[in-house]
Amino acid sequence: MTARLSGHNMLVLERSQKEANRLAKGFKELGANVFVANEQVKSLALQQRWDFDIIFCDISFLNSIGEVIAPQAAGGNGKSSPLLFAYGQAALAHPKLLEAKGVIRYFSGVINPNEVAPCISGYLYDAKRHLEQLSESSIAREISFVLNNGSETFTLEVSELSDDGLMTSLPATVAGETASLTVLVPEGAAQRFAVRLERKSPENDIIKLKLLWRDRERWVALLKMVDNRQKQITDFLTASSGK
Amino acid sequence: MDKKLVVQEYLTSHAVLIVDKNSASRNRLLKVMVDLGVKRPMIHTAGTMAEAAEILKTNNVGLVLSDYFVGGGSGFDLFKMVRTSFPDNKKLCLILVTSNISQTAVAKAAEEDVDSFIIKPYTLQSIQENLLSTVSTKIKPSPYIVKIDEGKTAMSAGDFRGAIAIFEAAMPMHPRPSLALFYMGHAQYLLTEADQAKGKYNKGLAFNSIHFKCLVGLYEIFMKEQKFPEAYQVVKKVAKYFPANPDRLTQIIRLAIITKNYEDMELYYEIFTQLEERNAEMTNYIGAGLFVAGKWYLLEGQLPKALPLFEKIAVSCAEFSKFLRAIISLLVEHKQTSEAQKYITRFPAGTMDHEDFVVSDFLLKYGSSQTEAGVLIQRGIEIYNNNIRDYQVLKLMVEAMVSNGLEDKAAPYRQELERLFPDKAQLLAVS
Repeated sequence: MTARLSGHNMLVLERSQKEANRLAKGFKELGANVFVANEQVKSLALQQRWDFDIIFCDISFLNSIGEVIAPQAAGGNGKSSPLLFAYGQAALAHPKLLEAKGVIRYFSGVINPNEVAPCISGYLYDAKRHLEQLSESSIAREISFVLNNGSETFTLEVSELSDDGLMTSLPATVAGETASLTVLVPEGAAQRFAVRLERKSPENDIIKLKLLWRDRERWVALLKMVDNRQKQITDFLTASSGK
Repeated sequence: MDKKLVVQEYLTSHAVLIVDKNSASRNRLLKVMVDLGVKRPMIHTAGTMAEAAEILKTNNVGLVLSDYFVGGGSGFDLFKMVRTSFPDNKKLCLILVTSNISQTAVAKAAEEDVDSFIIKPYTLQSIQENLLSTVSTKIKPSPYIVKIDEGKTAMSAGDFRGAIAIFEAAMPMHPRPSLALFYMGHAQYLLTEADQAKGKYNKGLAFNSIHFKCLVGLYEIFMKEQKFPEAYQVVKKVAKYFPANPDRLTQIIRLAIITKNYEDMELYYEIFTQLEERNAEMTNYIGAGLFVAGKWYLLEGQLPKALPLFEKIAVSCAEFSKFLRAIISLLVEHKQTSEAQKYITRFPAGTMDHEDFVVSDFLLKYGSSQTEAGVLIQRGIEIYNNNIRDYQVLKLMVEAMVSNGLEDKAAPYRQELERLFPDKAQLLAVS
């Protein structure tokens, strides 16, 4: 069996212990390091202690008071926040609720880990492969952007950033409304952001990747870092020319 | 000064040229310029050097925004072309807009005197601020820069004393007048007043220790005076802050060897590995530099310091098999045959019948004293008969012949050895 989730930390949030154990076993067999919580308090406590790449939660938790993702986990210290996947009955999946809670993808019906794992892994950044590619090319000198939309991976050409995301071009055939965006800064760690895809018009390739709200603070910190680097470069050019 | 108005006015009569391989990037920059108030017909875009060249022929370009690499060349090649096309336009603004934020790229931009370097990705606010500041400063320069330009004009006309007076007048106009001091120094250099020129450059560096022009000016004087240790110290500093120029790196390596600064060779290897483009000459120089440094460490009894340098040669300069031969030869000579053995597998495929491999193979097999003399002699003669003349091969063969009572047979080979290598021949271990 292919270990699609190998090396990733996953938190399963499910009220039924029996169901939680079933899901955990299935995801463990696919390579994930799985933790289980049956209620919010334990979930938040686990998130304080561990860095999770994936939170896989029953939809009933989205209706609870408070956030599924712990605030400290939502971007403190430049760390990536987990990608949130939810599951449950189809009728319970209200798009507005999913968007408000920052859900990347919703799975309806009885969950078979083997069936959902390919989709989940399609949003995850393959650090090892990417770093191998970087070491063979000059891309290590650039700030680079990688988009995973659940089925494909795209290396993006990005010119402009804004406070809530960025503009780039993607083929009009690219499907999906949500994705994970990984940003690699030279001599820095990779950071992951959850984004929505907003296409300006169906005819052209220009697309806006808009951050889900919980990642805004980290994004602003990234913009600040880029601005600081720009200032360093400008100051160096001024100093070396003496103008 | 309202920078936006100044820039808008300038760009009503001067076109903007945007050069980038990526069409989405070009379109974003185009929109940025339109948002700044530039009229759309004044903005031209190109994806390649050839397209840019066509646009330059038929438009009065005043601002160029280019990526680091464009189709058919680099942004710097493009800037050279633009400067050649408009030599009299002192207000021409050349700006790099690139995602390449390596130190090498920034240093090269400084060296090539680009007007600004904008990181991609940018925010709308930061690029607008940068563009307005850079262009307005260029088209409405400070009194200091106006004075410098006046002095440069006098220099171009051959009036060096007049130019010096103008640069003197410029000095109080800037808190750190390194540029004025550079040009004063340059004028004095042209008047063959080398000591005064050095004084000005040093004074410029006292204000700004990384002023590129002052550093290079000082370096050139020291080189002309053949004061190599002094030149080396200056150019080492240039390499530290401005590592990009491959031509300078070859000069630095040569100077490091002349001045016996072998311990710096690893630093230059790091610079070499960061270069965007590395040609055969560059590779040859770094290989030679690393070998000389490694040999020095070996002769000093510091084998652990020598070996990493030889390893770097094997990794980066393997296209030159002469280095592998030299390493093997040196290590065998110093009784390090097991270390030398590692390098025989590094020869490129298909070179097993080349001289460098043949000699290396011989030395590894027969360089130690355990080898059967008859086999050594026979193989040595085969190599000799293939017109290969290597000092160590000949030496080992002659010594083996003499040790086995074959003095008469050794005689012609000994003569050849003494003829070809007169300085080394006395080292033969035979009476």
